[in-house]
Amino acid sequence: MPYQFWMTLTNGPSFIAATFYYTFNGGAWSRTEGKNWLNYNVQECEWGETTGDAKNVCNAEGQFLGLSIEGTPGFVGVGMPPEIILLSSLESLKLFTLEWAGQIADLMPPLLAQLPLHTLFLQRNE
Amino acid sequence: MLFLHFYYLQLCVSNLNTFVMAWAGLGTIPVEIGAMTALESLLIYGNDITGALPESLCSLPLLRTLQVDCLKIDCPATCNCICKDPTEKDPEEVIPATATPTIAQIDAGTPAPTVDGYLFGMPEFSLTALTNPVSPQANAYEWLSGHPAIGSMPEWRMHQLFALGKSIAIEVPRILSC
Repeated sequence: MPYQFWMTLTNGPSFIAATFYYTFNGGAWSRTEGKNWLNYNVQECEWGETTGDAKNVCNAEGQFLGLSIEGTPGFVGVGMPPEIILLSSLESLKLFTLEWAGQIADLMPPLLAQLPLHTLFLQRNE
Repeated sequence: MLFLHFYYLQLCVSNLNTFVMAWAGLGTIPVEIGAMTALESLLIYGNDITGALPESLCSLPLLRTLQVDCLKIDCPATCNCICKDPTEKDPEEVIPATATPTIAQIDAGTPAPTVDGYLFGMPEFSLTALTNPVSPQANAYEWLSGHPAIGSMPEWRMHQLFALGKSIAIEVPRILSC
């Protein structure tokens, strides 16, 4: 029997988006509660806010262009999962985490700079 | 592209008879393709590939089906290219229905996956994180694994869910001899 071989390059943001959800304590989010995060039947891009600046945005191929991550009072961010760099079309990243365990710049993956980001929204309480 | 080149080297391409690169987001045709002497079908359309096909590709002895996007790719006169409309976006359709491939893990220099074959294509940092059962990645993986349709969805969809970013979904026999 001849060997079968096929190959495709996919955009499978499910794992990446879910990783963000767990990294930033998505179970405690309130604004997006009930708004489809981790809903198997909803495209990842439709997770979270449905309108406004914090809405996720994707292109026609389903690649994230804009990703918005809600914050939770009392949650302390310890870093950005390196999977962020796999969202190779990401232009806008908004993190509403208020507290970080160190200098934000130290908590970002160095390869973040290779993304075509034009908006990086970070918030913190001083 | 880095991944692709890497796997060509791993495969040594001697036993492949169908190679689907449609809609793979590729920009160039790797020259190694001309060494796939058992190749019977090659589909390259919907890519960003431009330029001429390598002449060596056209002289492969068993190549019967060569589908390209003729608007982008210059097909040499010696090649019997079939022009493919790039708006038809169903590369999985060309896979013979009789094929019952399994998702194989190739020893491609990455750590041995610890959960199952759907980890194939994940970058090393994700695989490393998955070894920690309380990592966000492990939680994400567990969530994905609980997908109610996971037993009935086609393989390519599973790859879409589990493979990351622009990683490659691939099905090959475990034994690869060069």
